[in-house]
Amino acid sequence: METWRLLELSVNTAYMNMAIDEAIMRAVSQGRAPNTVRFYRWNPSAVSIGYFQAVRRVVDLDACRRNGVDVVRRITGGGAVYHDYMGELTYSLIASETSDPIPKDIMESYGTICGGIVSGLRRLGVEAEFKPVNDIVAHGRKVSGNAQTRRMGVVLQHGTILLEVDVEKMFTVLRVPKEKIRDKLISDVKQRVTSLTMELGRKPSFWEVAEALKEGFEERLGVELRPGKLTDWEAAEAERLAREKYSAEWWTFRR
Amino acid sequence: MKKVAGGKLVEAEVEVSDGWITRVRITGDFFAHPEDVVEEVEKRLVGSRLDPDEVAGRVSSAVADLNATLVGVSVTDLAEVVLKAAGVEPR
Repeated sequence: METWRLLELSVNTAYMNMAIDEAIMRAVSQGRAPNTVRFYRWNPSAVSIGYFQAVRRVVDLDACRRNGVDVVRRITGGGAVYHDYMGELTYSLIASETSDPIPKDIMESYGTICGGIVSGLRRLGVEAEFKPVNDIVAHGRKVSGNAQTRRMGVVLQHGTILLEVDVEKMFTVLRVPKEKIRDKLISDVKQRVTSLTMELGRKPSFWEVAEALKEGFEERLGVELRPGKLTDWEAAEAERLAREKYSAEWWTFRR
Repeated sequence: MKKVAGGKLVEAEVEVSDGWITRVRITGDFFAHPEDVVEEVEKRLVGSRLDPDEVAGRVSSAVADLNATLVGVSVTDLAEVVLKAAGVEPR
């Protein structure tokens, strides 16, 4: 069985989180690091926006400032996500495009990687299902959103798992499209979104969820995830990317 | 201008001078692989006439040349959103 590296649950700023994902991608691309699964949280809480989104359109920057919420642009497409420090867990999976468990086809590979999440959530007792293209639902409601990019011969997929959700708080920092009525949108989102706390009737710990997801990935991908650390090269590269790219205005405001 | 296709949002800002496109910016919550295809589409639309066939042709050749995969948005969506932003109703 292949062995991949596991980077256990860590807490970082939004800029460092995105920088670490890219640093690992670069390291894997250059043969400096093995395929990796990583779990993390965001402190301070933050909004991440998709690669193609116009930041001012989707984020209320004044509300973010007032609430101490950071804003970061991802290198993956998709929509804006509010990452609450107390309510949300993120994973990333970084693997060479040629690695056996990852299908070459992008749509198919969403299914495989999300399959690991589904398997992990089922271990916790959540009736999770994959909903193509990139969502995981429980009882028809979204509990996880996922985004993938492929660059330099490497697949990066990261995604969010909602432990607890506060839709009102979410929409203090995310902008509501002007054609939608705020209260209506909030009640719609409440109907469409769920959390592990709602599904289980108790709030699981972050460690418990991360452990279940690790086992889910191992089962679905057929790999062993062995705890490891970022290399010195990756740590330095991440510091550089956080400083020069992810916390920089040229990147955040490029669209 | 916006278009929702399967829940995804695509918007375009287009600058036009004398019937020629001079600048395009496409934004939204869709996916495109490789991501550079969106910049390529924007670049190739500069210098296009505001003609539905020419716009659609330039979008589709950029996507084909980069062998790109679009998710949550189609070549037709991109062409339409650009034309609408420029005030042209698609045929």
